[in-house]
Amino acid sequence: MLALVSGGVASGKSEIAENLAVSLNKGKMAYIATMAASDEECRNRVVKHRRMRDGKGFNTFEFPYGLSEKIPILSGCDTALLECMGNLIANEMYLQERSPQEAIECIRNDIRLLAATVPNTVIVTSTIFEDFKAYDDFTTGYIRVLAEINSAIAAAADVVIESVCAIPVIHKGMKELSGYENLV
Amino acid sequence: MILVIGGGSQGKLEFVRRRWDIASANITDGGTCSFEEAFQRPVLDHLHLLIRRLQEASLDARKFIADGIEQHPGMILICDELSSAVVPVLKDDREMQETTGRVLCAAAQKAAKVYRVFCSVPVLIKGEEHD
Repeated sequence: MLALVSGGVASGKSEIAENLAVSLNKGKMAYIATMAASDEECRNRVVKHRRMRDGKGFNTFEFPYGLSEKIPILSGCDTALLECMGNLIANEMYLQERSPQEAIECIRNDIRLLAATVPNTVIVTSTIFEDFKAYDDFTTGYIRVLAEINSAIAAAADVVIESVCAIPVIHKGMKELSGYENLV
Repeated sequence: MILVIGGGSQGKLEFVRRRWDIASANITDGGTCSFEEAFQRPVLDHLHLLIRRLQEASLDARKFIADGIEQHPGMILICDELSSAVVPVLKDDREMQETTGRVLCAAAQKAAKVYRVFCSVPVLIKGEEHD
């Protein structure tokens, strides 16, 4: 199963995604962490997320960019949870200096390869599209790339869930999710 | 408790007024009320503005609102959703976005019903309509 879990900031999406991954898993489970923790605020978030995952059986891999090269390490895993797409794209565009078009191609390839390697893939992404501000070119490009990648994954996914105040709102895959009602 | 969320100017208050026949005197505005009166009427509107003001006063907004809900379980809370936007550059704005999100996750867990109002259309995302 390929599942996309999206939501805004602090909307409870991580917990829904973790619970879904745990429910789907029938073997070894990977957590692909994408944050390149550069300051204290980021490091605090990493610690918080690690604490949330404690005891759920994840093996953590820190892959902030260049996912495709590292995916072979995950063969043998039954389920992978990638968190989150927003960071992965930011890292490819900012740290790896990829253009929006290059980033889209790179990430599409990453996802294809990941879904072909691991039987169950859960991808956490962000909804950042309800905003009124005019941003600089880099940020505008980033928003566009994230929107395009989210749409591409949603099209390929069996299941698309939006977390709203930690309530799972199912946009796609109601049938596939029957039996997984207790996501939160 | 009933939670009503949605983007700004989506018709949340209008929905609450009509659905439960609420008079203006029974609605508190979280943007202007004193902290003491926040939970004293049946409806608290603009919860996100109350959160900002609590934060500006260096008070623990998550605890303040959790306590308010605990003590007044029959209320209707109305809050703008701020989470589906780019993470703000300013630390105070980031904190407000994060705190509002966490307050809403906790409130939704306690709520018997959660409505999300979209273009003035209320969508029930938790609970049953006729409870």
